[in-house]
Amino acid sequence: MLISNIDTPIERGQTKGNPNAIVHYGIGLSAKQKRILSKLPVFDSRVIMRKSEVNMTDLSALTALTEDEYAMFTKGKERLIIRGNKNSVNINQEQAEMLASQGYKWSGHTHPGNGNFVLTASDGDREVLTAFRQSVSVIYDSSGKFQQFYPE
Amino acid sequence: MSTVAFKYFSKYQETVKHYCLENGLDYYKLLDCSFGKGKNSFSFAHSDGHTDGSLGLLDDTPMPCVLWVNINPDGSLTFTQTEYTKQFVSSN
Repeated sequence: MLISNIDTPIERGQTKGNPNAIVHYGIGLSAKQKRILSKLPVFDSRVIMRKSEVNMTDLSALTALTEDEYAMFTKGKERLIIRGNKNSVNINQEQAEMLASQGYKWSGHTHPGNGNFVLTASDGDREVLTAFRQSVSVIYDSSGKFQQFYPE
Repeated sequence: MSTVAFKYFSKYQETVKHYCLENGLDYYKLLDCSFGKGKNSFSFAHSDGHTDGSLGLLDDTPMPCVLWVNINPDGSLTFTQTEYTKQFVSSN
């Protein structure tokens, strides 16, 4: 029996693509998420998609399945998605500054795993946030839970 | 703590301060930690600051969480210490 909770409810007939269902019950990705993943086959794969085609919950679902990090950067109506690995995304400080200069905002990224402590930012996360001159970004875990973090 | 973060934290400030006092924690050391805010929670993580500022996301290991706080439906707070709490925010 599938158990939902108030933070990540699982509605009847809507389990596919729910990160919590993927990580705990082995439910598969939604068709939309499968399309996203097909464009991100390996570490450092990058794809630009329309804003309407991908959101942070989708990346959480991908993380639940692959146990890799994914980062999302948004510029206008487009989103740049980068696949990482278990504990990194191939974006150093210089590249972050370059994306910022191109007009991207750092929408968020994922940390594989569950439990509260997975949601805390890294030192690098805060530095990248500073590079984007943003006051906030978000981290999602493998279950669809999230936490905002700040530069200082 | 950033202005944006403190705007959210300020409503819980006194409760957290009281918890620190009651549990031998240094409130001001806590404020030096990295603050995170979830849907019904917030947390503090210790930054050792030992980065050269160039790595970006190349090492995305989460900072050690020193205190996790759940916000209950009635608005009360439930505190959870970690193995790092005493090490980094003890008042001793």
